[in-house]
Amino acid sequence: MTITVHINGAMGHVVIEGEMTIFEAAEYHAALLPPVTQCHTLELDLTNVTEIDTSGLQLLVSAKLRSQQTGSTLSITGHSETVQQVLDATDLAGFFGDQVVLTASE
Amino acid sequence: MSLDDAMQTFIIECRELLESMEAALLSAEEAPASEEAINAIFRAAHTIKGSAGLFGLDHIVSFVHVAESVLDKVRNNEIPLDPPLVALMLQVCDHIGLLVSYLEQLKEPDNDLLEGSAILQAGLSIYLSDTPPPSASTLPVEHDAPYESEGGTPVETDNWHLSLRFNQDVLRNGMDPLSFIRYLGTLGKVVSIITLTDTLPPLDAMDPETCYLGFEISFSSNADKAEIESVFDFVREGSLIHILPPRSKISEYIELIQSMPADDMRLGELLIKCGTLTRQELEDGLASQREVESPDQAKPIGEVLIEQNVVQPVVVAAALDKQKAVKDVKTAEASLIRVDANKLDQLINLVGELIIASSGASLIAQKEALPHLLESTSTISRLVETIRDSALSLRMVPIGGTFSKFKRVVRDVSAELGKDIQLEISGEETELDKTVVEKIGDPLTHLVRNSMDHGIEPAEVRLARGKPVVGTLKLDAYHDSGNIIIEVSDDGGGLNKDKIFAKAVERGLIKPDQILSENEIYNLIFEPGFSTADAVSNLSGRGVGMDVVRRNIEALRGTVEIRSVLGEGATMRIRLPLTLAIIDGFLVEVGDSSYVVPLDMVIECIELPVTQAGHNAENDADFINLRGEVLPYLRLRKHFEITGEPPRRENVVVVQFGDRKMGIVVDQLMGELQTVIKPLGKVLNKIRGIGGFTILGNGRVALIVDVPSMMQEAEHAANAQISDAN
Repeated sequence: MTITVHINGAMGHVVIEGEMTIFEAAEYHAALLPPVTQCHTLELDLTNVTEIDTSGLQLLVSAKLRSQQTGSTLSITGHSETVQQVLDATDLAGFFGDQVVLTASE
Repeated sequence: MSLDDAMQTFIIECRELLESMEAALLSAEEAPASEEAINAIFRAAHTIKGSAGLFGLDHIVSFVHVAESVLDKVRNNEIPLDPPLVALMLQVCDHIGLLVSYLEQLKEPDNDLLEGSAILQAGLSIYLSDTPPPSASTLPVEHDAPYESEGGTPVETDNWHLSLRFNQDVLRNGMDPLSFIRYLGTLGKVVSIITLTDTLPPLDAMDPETCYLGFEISFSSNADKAEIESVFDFVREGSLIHILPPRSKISEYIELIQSMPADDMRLGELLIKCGTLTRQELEDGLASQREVESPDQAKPIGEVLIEQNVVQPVVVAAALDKQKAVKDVKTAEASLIRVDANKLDQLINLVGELIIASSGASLIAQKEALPHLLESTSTISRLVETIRDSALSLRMVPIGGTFSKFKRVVRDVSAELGKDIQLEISGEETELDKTVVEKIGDPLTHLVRNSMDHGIEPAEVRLARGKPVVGTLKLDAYHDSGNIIIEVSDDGGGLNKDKIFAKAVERGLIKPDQILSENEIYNLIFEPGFSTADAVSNLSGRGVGMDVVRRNIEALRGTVEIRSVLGEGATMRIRLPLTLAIIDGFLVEVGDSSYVVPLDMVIECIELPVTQAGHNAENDADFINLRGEVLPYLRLRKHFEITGEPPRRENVVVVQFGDRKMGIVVDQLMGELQTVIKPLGKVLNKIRGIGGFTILGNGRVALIVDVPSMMQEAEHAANAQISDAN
């Protein structure tokens, strides 16, 4: 897995590749924390995520919840098929509100 | 609950499951296994696997999994549960037991153990010749829809409702809730799902390895409840998993709502959102429940709902039937409480103190001779007595559990010896103290093995003697005057008196000219280093064991005796006191000392005939004529060397032990007394004739007379006299 974080002032861009599972959860958590807390606008590119489990999902959910509370924007710019399936299976696509299946509900 | 505690529970649970598995297997061997028995075996294996998985005990999981797969085939009638398979499964049982004991001793599984697993697994996999089932045994099998909608068109409530709150450690245990949801997809269709993020802490505060998400799922499937439940077998511990069948009673939804940590309305809303309930149904349900709760708790909400036509009776009945089995098990579990044995011991100690204190109070009452005080102390004494009995009964367990273990022993030993032996068990409901039960297992095993090895003859000898080819071993238990009798009897050759005598002389245990009663000769086999078996077998005949048996039984204040008829069989009779703590006693006095005779052994009290008084006082043992019967007696004064003159009138307490009677001559009879037995210290516990002591109400100490050993002593003395005379 690799996680690439670019922070440019209030703008952030994070690219995650490979597996997002419990085995890497601690690393993801640590890596995601600075951009999520610092950036007003954050883009997540999950195009090349090959596997995602509950730990990965709840990290994304938690990050999204935070952005909703602070009024910042968190958007997922690319979904791999796996990510999409998980979001469908848990009916969370609407919650993230990205242009995958449904339009944003907020 | 810390992991260690949980592990302990797991170990105990495993042991119990293995026991029931073994019992079911053994019954399956005797008669064609019922579906119920097979299910019990399967469930046991399944549960062990599930719980082991929870602890990440991969070696156990993988081993049990193979066994479970085979059992699943048996359950589906694909392969028969024939004797070879039963034998194999018994080995599997043993091996799981071994795996668990390694766990208990915190030993890492070593090579021997893993090799054992591999061998058994290989044996099992023969039964799985075609492709083994993929993951667990819970294959998505199509079933007849048990809850078919009456109208045929699926309505919203024809869906299952699943409410899942996972154990926080589920991820750390290597399980992913998402995969369960995915797996549900193979059993049916997830109609709608709500992912709950309520408990999800803010990103900076969350532990990425803890599972925070919960799910409410509306699920359409033809699978039955057990199948859906089994999906979550591995995560059940510590998780809140609620599965409601289609068209469950509204009350069950209400119950679900109330059992959840989230507030009522939040979950109610979720159910509505999920499409499981309509808002109307929810409100009605909540309202009628409030109604019912206040006036009459007993009326089940389901009935109310039926009356109100909210749910159809048929559906409720179907749902209830399906769940009844599950509930029955739960009720049985709920009616039992596991209590730490130490707590019970503490309780019994306290009851003992209470008895002493209350007898002190009644003593004072008697002295003061205040009628009111006497009345109230006698009430207290009666209550204390009741408390004593119920406290002691807490420790009582039926001996059946111990007996049924011998089914296996007999089965294995008879196979080893090549003898065909059947076991008959009776009196398994007889209760005795738990400590005694625990300690009697080993000596009993020895006696059973001994009977099978030495007692029951080989088939050809049996045929020649005109006996049935199949030998019979009987285990029996019953109560007899405050004792419990456990008998091990066989229909074998019996004990050969002459052979035993000769052997004992050869071993130097007795002198050739010694005169011994039949019983004493039989008892010689309990002497250390005694064995008459011509061949030393794997089981017995090494001359160790029988003496240990007697020592163990004597440590429990019990005795063992042998009845034997040459050519017809032998019976070993173990006699044990019912309890080790508190007894009803009979208080007597000699000079200044008090003694307690166990009341259960006392038959009657008579006055010593004047003709005997003082007469023969030099003799330890003498006899009187008790209604034409010869009753030997023993003077306690002489026995314990108490100084002082005996009173003019002496009394005889007639006691019985087994089938022997004896008189004990004392100065005064004081009456009944609840006696708390205190053990004698190390220095004194070798004294024959005293079984312990107790504290009287006035604070004085009374010695408890050990009738059996006193009888033995008296007999020895008498025999010695006879020998001397000869």
